[in-house]
Amino acid sequence: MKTPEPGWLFDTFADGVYTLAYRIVRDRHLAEDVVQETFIKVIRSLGSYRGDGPIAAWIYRIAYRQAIAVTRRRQEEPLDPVAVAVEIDRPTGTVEEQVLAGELAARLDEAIGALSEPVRAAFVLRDVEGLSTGEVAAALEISRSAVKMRLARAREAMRRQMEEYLT
Amino acid sequence: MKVNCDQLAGLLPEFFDGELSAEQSDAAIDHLATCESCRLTVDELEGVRTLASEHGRLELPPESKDRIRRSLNLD
Repeated sequence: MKTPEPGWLFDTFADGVYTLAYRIVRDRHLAEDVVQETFIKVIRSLGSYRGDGPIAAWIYRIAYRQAIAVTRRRQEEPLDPVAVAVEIDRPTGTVEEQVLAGELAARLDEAIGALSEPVRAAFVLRDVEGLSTGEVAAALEISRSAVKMRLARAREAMRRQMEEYLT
Repeated sequence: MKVNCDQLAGLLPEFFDGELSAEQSDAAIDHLATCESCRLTVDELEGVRTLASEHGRLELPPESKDRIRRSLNLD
């Protein structure tokens, strides 16, 4: 099997790893640290990647473990909803459209953040990043049925939280 | 095969993943055709998936991307 080129891996997965990392650690700077540490490990371990599973699942598994380690190390910090709104979406269009997009981004961030961490990770990988159920199971090192159970919980909770945006 | 509301709820993960058998899929569609409450639930859950995929993704800021790229000796 041809080893993937490190620069290509970074360009392909950096935003996805950042998304997962931010959704888990809930801090922009810590999420960037997770991205850096993840790719240090990915590049170091490329030689031992056996190609026996999807590379996305392998990278997200490393990122998830890293994000969990960071979460366990740090103390809870209050979030700044305005900063979150600006950071998550860089809306374009009229001022009114930008305000609405910022509100949606902040509300979505709040709703995702309210999910329990294991449920949140499954939801982000499956419904935000678009991994398959099998890839999510491999990334989180759980069974496919556990992924489906977590997704059902996540989607139902998100449906209640985001109701006003769903009609 | 027929399903009621509770049974449909149990099938939803596979429904969204397109993993139902033909028989289950037909039963789910038949139920949705006659049950407004379940149809609303499915529409809203589909809406959640759309919101997540269209608005849930973040971009690593370009300056951070450049900094990390350099630190990894990728340039």
